[in-house]
Amino acid sequence: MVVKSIAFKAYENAMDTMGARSKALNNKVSGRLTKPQAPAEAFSTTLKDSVSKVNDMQAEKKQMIESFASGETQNVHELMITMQKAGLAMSMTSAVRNKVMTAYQEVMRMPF
Amino acid sequence: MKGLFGSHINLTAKVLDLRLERQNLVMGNITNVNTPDYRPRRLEFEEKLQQALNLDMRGKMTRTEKSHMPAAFHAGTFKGDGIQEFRARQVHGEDSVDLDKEMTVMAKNAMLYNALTDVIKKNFTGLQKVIQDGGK
Repeated sequence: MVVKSIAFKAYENAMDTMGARSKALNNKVSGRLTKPQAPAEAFSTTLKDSVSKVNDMQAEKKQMIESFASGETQNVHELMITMQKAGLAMSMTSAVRNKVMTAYQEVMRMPF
Repeated sequence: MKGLFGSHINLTAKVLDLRLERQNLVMGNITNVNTPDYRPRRLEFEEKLQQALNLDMRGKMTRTEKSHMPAAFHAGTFKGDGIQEFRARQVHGEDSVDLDKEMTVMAKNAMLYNALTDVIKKNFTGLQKVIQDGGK
């Protein structure tokens, strides 16, 4: 039977306190580094939704033009507002598309 | 090129034609304001056009299913009523040209014509923009 020396006991105690301290530190760090919550919906869903919204706006514009041309409705302002909305949505879509294409090309040029 | 130009562009072009025709007719009426036995001519196309486009009540009633065949609108064959059916009546004074009415018809027609030119212009510039941006 080995009798622990006083020095060894003191060493063990010191190690324990160190371990506790490091654990606390680890907890603190991991608490700070928690990953941000995953978004409720995926980016692709957002993209698909906005593209289909743009498509709906174009369809609405077509409908408005047809009903205006055939004389069914005669308010010009509503037609113009719808057309501007559809046009702006289309411009926005093409701008986003251009940015995405630029980003893709930049990634492709990256040296591995 | 069915893919590039939507049906609304063809429709707008056709309606612009019809409005020009109506304008010419109204100008003819105004010119003949002093002609005896002249009956003002009218060109009516709205109702027929709405029927052709399934926009009126009857068209909407008949097409209850999405899979039903729609009444297709053909810009080439569409014609307005009125010019062919015109026949002068021999009652003088009763159907003479009313200058105020003609002016009203002309003003409304011109306004709608201008609005439609705006529409078709915006459509084309929008298409051009999409093409230019897509080509970048």
